[in-house]
This record gives sequence, C-alpha cells and structure tokens, in this order.
Amino acid sequence: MTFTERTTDARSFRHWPGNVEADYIYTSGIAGERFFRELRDHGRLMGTRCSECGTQWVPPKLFCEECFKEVHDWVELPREGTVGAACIVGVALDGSRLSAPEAWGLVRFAGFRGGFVHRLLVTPDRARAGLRVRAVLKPEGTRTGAITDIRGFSP
Amino acid sequence: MRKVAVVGAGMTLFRRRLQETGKELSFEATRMALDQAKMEIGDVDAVVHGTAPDAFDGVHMKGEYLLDGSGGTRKPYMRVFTGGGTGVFSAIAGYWHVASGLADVALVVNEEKMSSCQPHPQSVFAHIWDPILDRPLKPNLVWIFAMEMNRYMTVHNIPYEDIARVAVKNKRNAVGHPCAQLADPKITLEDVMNSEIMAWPVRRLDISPPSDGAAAVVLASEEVVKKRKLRDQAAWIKGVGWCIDSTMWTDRDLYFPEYVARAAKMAYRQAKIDRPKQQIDFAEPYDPFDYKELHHLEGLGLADRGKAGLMTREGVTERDGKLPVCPSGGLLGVGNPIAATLGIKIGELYWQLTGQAGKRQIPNEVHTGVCQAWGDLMQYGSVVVMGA
Repeated sequence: MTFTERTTDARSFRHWPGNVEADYIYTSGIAGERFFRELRDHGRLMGTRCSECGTQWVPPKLFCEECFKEVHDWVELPREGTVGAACIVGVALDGSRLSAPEAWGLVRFAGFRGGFVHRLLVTPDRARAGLRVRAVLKPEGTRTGAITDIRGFSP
Repeated sequence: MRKVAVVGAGMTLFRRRLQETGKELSFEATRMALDQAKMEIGDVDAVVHGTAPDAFDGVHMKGEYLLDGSGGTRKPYMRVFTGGGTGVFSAIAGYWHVASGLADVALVVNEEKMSSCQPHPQSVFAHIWDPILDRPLKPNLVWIFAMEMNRYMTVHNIPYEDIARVAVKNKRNAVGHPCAQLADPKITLEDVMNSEIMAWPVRRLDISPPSDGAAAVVLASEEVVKKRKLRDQAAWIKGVGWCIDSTMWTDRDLYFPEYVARAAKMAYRQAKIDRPKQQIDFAEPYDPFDYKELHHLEGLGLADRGKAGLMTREGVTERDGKLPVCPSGGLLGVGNPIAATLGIKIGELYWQLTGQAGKRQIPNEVHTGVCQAWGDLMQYGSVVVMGA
C-alpha cells in the first residue's frame, strides 16, 4: 500500500544536522491579565461585552472585532456551555498511538461569541455536539492563572 | 493609476516591553488612525498587515493571528513581509489596493512584539544564515553591520564622530515624540563614542534596541478625500519604489546601498522628481544604526556619496536645517519595533506634511518628503515620496 508508506528514519539519509532554537516569554495582555486573575483567584470564567454593539466575547477581548470599538465591560459566563463540535484523538503529535483515545471539544456559551477548545472529560462515546458541560477547575490554591487551570469540561 | 492620500495615522508607545498583546497593540494604533481619518471599520474596503519575522513575536503566521486586532475580519486581507523594509513596504501594498481602484479606502497596520523573544531577538536572527556555510560559525547580525559600517568609513575616509552625530541628533529630535522610547535631550557625542563596543566599530548607542509597538495608516482615493472633506488632512502618495539586491551579503559592495538607489529611482520617476536635492524638503530614512541614516541618504540621492556625514556635522540635517532628516527622532530616538516603524516613516511624513507634528513640526514650510525602510537580508529598500 504505497499511500500509507512512511519514512520513519530520515537520519538514515545523508544530512546536515541543525536546530532552530527559540525561547519566548509572552504577555497575556490587558484583557488576558484580568481573565486569568479571575480564573485563578475566584474560579470565574469572564468575558467582555461591547457597549457599542452588544456583542459578548469569550475569551475576553479589549476590542470588538465586529464594530472595532474599545471594550470596557466585563461579564461572567453562564455556568453551563454546550459542545458545538467534538473530536476523538487517537494519534499523538509524534505519530504514536495514544494508549487511550482523548475527547476534545469546542465549548460555546449562550449569548457569547467565541468559546474554548478544550478537553472533554467524558468517555469518547459521549463526546458529541449538543452535550451540556461545565468547566472543571483545578482546586483553589493550585491554580496558576493559565488555561490549564481548567482541567476540562464535563457534563 | 488613481491618486492616493494618507488621511489618518496612529501609533502606540514604543517600549522595550509592553503588557499588551500584539493584537491589543494593533487595535490601539488602528483605532487611532481610523479616528483621525473620521472613519469606522465599515468604511474600510481592504486591510494590509505588515509584520516582520514570526520568530520575533513567537507566533507562526502572525499576520493571521493579528487579524482581529487589525480590523481585517471578513475583508480582503493580506500580510506583507520584507523584513525591516516592511515599515514602508506595507504602505506601498496598501497603495496598490487604492491606486488600482480595487479599494477606495485601505487600512495599513504594522505590529512587532520583539520582547517575547528570549534572551534577545538577536537569538532568532541566528537562523537567517545559510545553515551549512554560515551557521556553524555562529555569526551575529551585528557583524554584518559592523563590516558594512567599516567598509563605508574606509571607502570614504569618514571619521566615526560624523556617524555618531546621527545618534545624538535623532535621540534629541525624539524628545518631542509622545511615543519615544529612546529620547534624551542631554545626550552628547561623547556619550555615544564612549558607549560599549558591540562589534567594532559599532558601539551600543549606534544601535536602536528591540522594542514592542504598532502603527497604522488609512489610505483613501481622491474621490473619498473630496466626498468626506478630508483635503486639509490629506498627504498624497506621489511615488513608490522597492528593490532587492543579491541574497548573499558577500556579493554586495557594502559601501553603497544600491537597493535603496534603485528603489528611489523608481519612486522619483513616478513622483516626477529628477533633482531630489532641490525638490525634496525633508527625509525619514531608515536609521536602526546611525551609519545607516548616512548610507541611506546617499542611496536616496540626497547626499553625494561619502558626504552625508559632513552634512550632519554641518547641521544641514537638523530639524531647522536645510534638509531635516528624521525629524521624528527616527528609530534611534523613537524606537525600532521593526515593521511598526511605519509610524515614524510614513506616519511622520503624514503628520509633518499636514502640519500635525506638534513639537516636532519642521519650522520651515515643507511640501515634499521621502521616507525609506531597509530590510530582508540587509539588501532590500522600500521608498515612498509624499506631498501636500
């Protein structure tokens, strides 16, 4: 089967080794700073609301992508969101087989644009669009202010 | 081709590190430019984004990443990239959109967030070299500049002082710039000459350090300028040019920027300029290094070869001189967030030509200005002539 043949050891060919090394420190930004503080300190998921056109954004934006005005108002997300799309991952980034398949989903919230792409804490057969889910957070005191403070979403 | 004007410009602070994300910086500059142009995002037909290597911000395909902060969502949108040359080139790409008639209003947004890259953006510049011929020797970008500066000084017998004076002038000029990172009203020639040697003959104060920032301009057709009564705040793009020389820096004679000369020739032809020294009132050449301002003035035909240093010594290029150069404060004074230097090249021409430069306003009346950026693998020039 030609179409599934793979080269698994490119280094067996003649080559010159190289490495594009790079190291980064990012800023979470003005909106991101507040979002992550709320998540870490209060266990709350927050979005922003455009006072001009009313669009609500999650993750929060400091500007409205719709009407391009600066956004100042903060609003808390509803407790429950809905899985808009799901996928069941069987193969890892490096091409190896995962020991157990993982469920990932796009979680949306009523009244908000955007959402989160995150882990679904359910067995693969339950990971389907339409599933109502809530964020499962790491315990207070162990959260660092990162997207991984959310362990995933579960019914 | 249709006539195209700049009708608004905006820029953020330039700083070594800003808390804002690149998207937030882009928004801030873009909103400012739209406000000045008295426009909303719905008035914009197309958006051009300019930003230098993805490796600076640490986000691959960052033109797409920065889209929402740049007002490009659900519009014709493109990112252009010519390294440091992007600072002026993105405006040329914006110009095509309007001059061709495909758009009546085009927004140009440039961004750079170099502080993400650790320990220094220089570390990712290591990857621009040939992976087999050069990289095993661990070259540093400053080497090129040091050799280019040395070659320029050697060919024309230019004293180092004449080069260092550019840093003094620009850091002083930047004192009037509200976004400036490197302004210093008290800097002296001795400060520059005695600063740490990075790679001889380049000293620390000869170089503009890394920066975070964004800038934006709004371009409009003549019809839009008339209809919206923007004539008083319009500066017209009279000519555009761009050119790239050989890939290998070893294949160029480093003492003269042929790529700038050819780009300028292209822009001058369109702008009907045949005697640049007489017809151009002020210039914003790309000055990430002090010798580059001199190099580029010669490439732009505004100084005889080897004579730009003398002009600087004689005060010709001061803000109140016969040919003000980098009245904004330039990259050496305002800062060097690579592509975002749009704000001190196209932006400064715009503000000067429309009398909106505030404390930086050139005292003599100015009608025609030229700006230029330099980039890619140190062999690229982009030139824009503007008039009002």
